[in-house]
Amino acid sequence: MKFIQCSTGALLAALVLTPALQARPIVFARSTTAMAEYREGALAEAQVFYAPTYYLSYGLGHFELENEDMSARHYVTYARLNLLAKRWNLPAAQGNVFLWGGAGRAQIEDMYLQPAVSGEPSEHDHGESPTPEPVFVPAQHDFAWNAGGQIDFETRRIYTSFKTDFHYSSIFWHRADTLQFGFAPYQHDVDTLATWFVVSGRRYSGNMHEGTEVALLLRFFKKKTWIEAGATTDGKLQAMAMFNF
Amino acid sequence: MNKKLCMMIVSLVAGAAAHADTIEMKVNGLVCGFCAQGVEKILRENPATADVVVSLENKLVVVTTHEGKDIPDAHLKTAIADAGYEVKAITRTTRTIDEIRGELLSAAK
Repeated sequence: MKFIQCSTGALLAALVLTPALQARPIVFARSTTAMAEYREGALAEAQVFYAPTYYLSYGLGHFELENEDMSARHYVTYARLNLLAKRWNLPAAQGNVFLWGGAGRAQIEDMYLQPAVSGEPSEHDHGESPTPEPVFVPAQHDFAWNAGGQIDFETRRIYTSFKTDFHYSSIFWHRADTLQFGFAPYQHDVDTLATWFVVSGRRYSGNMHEGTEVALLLRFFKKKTWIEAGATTDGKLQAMAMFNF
Repeated sequence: MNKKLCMMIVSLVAGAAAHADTIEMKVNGLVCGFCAQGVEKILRENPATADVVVSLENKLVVVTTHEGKDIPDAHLKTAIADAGYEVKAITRTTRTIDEIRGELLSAAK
């Protein structure tokens, strides 16, 4: 997997301008939240959480990573507990500190190239050898634990957050730090569509891949649905959807 | 004549009382639609609640109760705290929730 190698200046600019409405592990009391996120060439993740109170939620998650040379896939399936450790309620703003931790199973699948099955030569064959097919086979698995946190500050016009997420097992580890800044061109209300422009800077580290990426995202949010999509500065798709019920 | 006057007064007082079940709360921390949903969900769990309106712009939560029912201030504060927010002021008004909803819609245009 190739990550964006942006200039230090661009990254700093993104970080200083920073953050936009980042999904929260707890939305509101007695609600269920389903989230799915896709980052082309990096990871795919899905989570489902139930929040019995406004400060606690628990649920399951699964994410997949590919290493830079595409020679293996890494999976983690986990159970997680999320805690809203602190909230500041201001007249026109809100700040939060979230912490989470959990455990699960990590697995690596190695890729090998399986020669394509060739049948009887036909009149259309011109001596070209069949293209090998990539096949992933389970190679290793182990217990994994995870921990992380998020701090955010939000008004109806700006949003800023920093999030760190860490997965560790004996077979691999992975960490992602995300800084976001969001700007709303207008102030939405309960029944109107919320629109956000988001700059997202993310740094990956671990023993599979390392790198930094900056993405520009457009986010829409109304009632129980949140959808965002955009691209990194090197043109890779990023998308996320969240449903609350 | 006196009887008619008494009936009118009783009628006016009763009318005012019928509208006295609308509660307006100023609430801190309301910045997004999810905040509003959380507050509304908690308040609707109270059997006395008839309707709820939330305005992010006005930092306002309005509750109307079923006829003859009331929700004490302490219960309202607890409900809002259980949703994760903070009540700054509670007032009871003779305006109906539909009137308030209409005013909010007009102001938003």
